[in-house]
Amino acid sequence: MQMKNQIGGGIFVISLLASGCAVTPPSADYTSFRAADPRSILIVPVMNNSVNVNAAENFLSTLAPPFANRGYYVFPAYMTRRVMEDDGIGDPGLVHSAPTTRLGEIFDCDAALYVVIERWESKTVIISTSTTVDLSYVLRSCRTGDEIWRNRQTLTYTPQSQNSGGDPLVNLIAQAVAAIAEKAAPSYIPLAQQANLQAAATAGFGLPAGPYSPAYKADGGVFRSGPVN
Amino acid sequence: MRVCTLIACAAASAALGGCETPKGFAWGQYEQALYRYSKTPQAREAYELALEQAVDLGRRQNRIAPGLQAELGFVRLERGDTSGAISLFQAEAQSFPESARFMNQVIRSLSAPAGADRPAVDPATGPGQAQPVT
Repeated sequence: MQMKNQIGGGIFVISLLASGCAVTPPSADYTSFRAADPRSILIVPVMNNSVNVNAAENFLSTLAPPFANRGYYVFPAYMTRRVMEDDGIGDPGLVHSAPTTRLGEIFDCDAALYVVIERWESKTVIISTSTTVDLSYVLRSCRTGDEIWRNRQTLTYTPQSQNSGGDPLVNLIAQAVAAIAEKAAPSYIPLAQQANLQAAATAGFGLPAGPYSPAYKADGGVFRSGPVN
Repeated sequence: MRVCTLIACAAASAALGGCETPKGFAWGQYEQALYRYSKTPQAREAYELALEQAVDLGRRQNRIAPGLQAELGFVRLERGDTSGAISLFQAEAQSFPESARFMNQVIRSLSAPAGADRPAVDPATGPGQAQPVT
């Protein structure tokens, strides 16, 4: 049933596009991105502005797949981080303020991805726990140092217990238990994975298809160059 | 209301580019394994195994994921298997020409006679804070 719905919706959207009556979907301006035309992306050490000291360490594992899956060569995240440490640029604050062209000299990367963790927190108010990740993404050319893309994702998750009606006290307890469980083991990683996927792959705002994608250079209508509408 | 759901559903799958690469790169358990390794150094063997399996699957199905051969090579290097590491770095450079200059530079520094040059990758260097310890 779920499948059928998707197919139905797909046909609906295709016919909308084909008939030409659809309004142009929104897009950021990809002029500088298209000019840089990157094939490869280096993930630089993640800057952590949150109060959670382990956030950056645990977050690194989630970054490469969603960006590579857009069709780019993504440098080995763990290995390159260790090489940067040995090269004296492993400190996120240092590498984020150093010229990107220096990374181009070391790694021969086309672009470097700078991610800043703005928030990575779990808060309990009364009997409800909310987990939030707030991430900003900037891609710079390793050749010129210019910024060629940026995105920001703020995602919050608040577990809701199954409200089966009936006894309000039972519902209250169920809600409190769900809040305690979320507080003990906040869903940071699933939220971060979702944020990365949305940042990398949202039509009109993510990364255009790269050279390893069949859609390479065929998505100019979705990721447009020119003034933002 | 129903139509809205249909549109939202299709838009969501289209917006996330789900249909662009039907098979995609073979990541295997890479992400979960690296996550565990970043939390506990003891998980290194499991990380290495996850990389081996993902690389193997990717080679068999011709959809090897970028970076994984190099990551596996680096794990081998960390436990002293320099020749195993070099052949994996060579494989990475061959599969992905974008990595060739960096990989060749690493291979050169590993092949250099001891003391001749400071290696680009030095597994003996102490890891920073909260690093998986070799």
